Amino acid sequence: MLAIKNLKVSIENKEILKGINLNILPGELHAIMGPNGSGKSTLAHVLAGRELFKVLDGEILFNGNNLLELDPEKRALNGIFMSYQYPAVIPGVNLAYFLKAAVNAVRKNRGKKEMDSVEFLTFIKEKMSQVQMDEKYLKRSVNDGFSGGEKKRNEILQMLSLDPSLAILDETDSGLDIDAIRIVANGVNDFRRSDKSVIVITHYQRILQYMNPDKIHVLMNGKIIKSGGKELALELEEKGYSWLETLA
Amino acid sequence: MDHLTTQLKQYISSNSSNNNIIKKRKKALAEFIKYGFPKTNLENYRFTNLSKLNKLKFFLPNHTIKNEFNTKIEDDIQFPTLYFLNGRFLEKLSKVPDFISIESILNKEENFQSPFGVKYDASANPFVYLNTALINDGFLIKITESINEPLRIIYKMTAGSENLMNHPKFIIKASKNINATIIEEYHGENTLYFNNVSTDFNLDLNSHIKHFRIQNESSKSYHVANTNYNISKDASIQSTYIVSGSNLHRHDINVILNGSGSHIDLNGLCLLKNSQHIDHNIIFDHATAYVTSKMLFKYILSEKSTGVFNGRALVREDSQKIDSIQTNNNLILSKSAIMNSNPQLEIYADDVKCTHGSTTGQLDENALFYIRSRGLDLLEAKSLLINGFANEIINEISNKKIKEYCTDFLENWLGKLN
Repeated sequence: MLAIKNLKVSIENKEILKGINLNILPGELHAIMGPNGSGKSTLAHVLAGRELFKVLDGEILFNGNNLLELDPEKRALNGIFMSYQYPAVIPGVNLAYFLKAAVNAVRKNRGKKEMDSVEFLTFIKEKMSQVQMDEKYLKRSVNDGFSGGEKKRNEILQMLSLDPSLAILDETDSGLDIDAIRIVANGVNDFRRSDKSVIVITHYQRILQYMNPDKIHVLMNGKIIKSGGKELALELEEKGYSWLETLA
Repeated sequence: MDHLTTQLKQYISSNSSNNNIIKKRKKALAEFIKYGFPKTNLENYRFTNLSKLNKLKFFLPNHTIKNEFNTKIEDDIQFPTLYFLNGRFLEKLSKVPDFISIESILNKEENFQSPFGVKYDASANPFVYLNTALINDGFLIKITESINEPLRIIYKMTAGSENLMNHPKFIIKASKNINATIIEEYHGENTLYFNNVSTDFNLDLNSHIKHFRIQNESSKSYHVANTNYNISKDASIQSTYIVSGSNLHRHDINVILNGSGSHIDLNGLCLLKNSQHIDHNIIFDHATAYVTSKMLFKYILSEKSTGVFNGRALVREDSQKIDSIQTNNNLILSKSAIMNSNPQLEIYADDVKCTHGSTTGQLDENALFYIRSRGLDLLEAKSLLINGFANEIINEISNKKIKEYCTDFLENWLGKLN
């Protein structure tokens, strides 16, 4: 599904990622953990195609194709989805309109018929109930005045609606209470299939309790310094990150 | 200026009028000539250069010559409508219900004066005098009963209107306790002309007017306008302006909130491209206590366009318990576009709630990326954000047809952007 080879990335001449290697197979869920400033979010944004970051070296293959050549919208259409830590606000554009445009763009790219308003409404209401999001949000401007929890639910709603093949969750659990974390985790579990992969970027082990990660990676100082099974998450929870510093 | 004097002479000689009116016209022209076209050394005109307009010669339409009015009849005149073509009133395209009294402005002496007997500082806006001097058509419209369908004033200039100038005047008087909607529309084909419009609204007790103003003039034209709202006790104005036409647009708006419970809600959406210049100069005079006002102007500036917003909220000494909100938000789409925003508060009372704010910025990069990462391309993302910005004004429009019109209008404008 995804193969990252020796990825080096900088922003404003500062090197953030210093040679990342990562291989994710279809059906797998990988968690990337690490302290603040380790480069986790940078990795997520580079995968989504943010031009702000400069790729210095390395390559990213997504289903065998060079991902770095593609514009962000092309990546989305080809099946990459990122759930943002801080989702943007789009004043004056209601959620229903935005979601319908996005869903239809993806459907069109997959050779499916675009949905009309009635079809879309039935479709989206079902997805909203999956993430326990009130239908009233459809009429509101995208993320405008949404609480932290609502914004994250909205991200998971978009993930379920766009049905990507690779979902990257950038600290979707941060700032959420335990109920909201469970809703997000359930959304991810509903999404998982043998042909879909997930990257969960997080500080904490909490959200991973509700999922079944195949691999845990520790990202520190721009490098993956340790990888392991889900037991690694528990170890990190117990010991923090400092014991790994010598590896970084 | 000699040219204007000649134009007035010719007008007088070819149109019958009583002597007092002629005197008033001449006096108004003398006033205008005294001040001339305002220069940029005046505070109110600092960012609006009228020297080009001053150099051009425009001619009043000669109604004795038969114009070739071959333009096909608008297919959608379904509202009560007053239709003007190239400065001339077209009766056969105009329909109004009997209970709206329509009276030509040309033969009534009292119409040839500054509105409401208020003394205008001519140096602040001499175009009012030019309009009075050269009024070439217009109506006093008395609305004595509520009307359900909007009354449209359509002012259209065709390709045959090269070098014409018009000084139309409309006075709208709303009787007590009525509700009505007025749409003022200015459309023009691709030609050079000058329209200097004056519109006065006089609202009696507890009357409520919705006013839409669409300025869609030729991109070569000059559009100068002066709109006055005199709002009595418990009466209200809800106004929305859509401005996208003309090469230069200058609009002075004077609002007098004249009795407790009176309210104005004035919204403007300005869409600028090429080297267009759009300037709004607004005064809200909170003349009595217990009045409320809201002003929201949004400019979207592309290419080399320039915009000016001067909004002033004046609260007089005895005008306590005022609630006033003044906002100007601007979206700049190009590096060469310039916006000058100057919201002002002038408060002499102490127990009031007045806020004002102004923002000018570019499209939000984070939001653009967010939208693109959901599968929409850069152009769609931009268009979505611009629409969102404009929607704050368009979504407030309660009349469904007008709202649709504005949505289409914006879409059409966006479609032509590079």
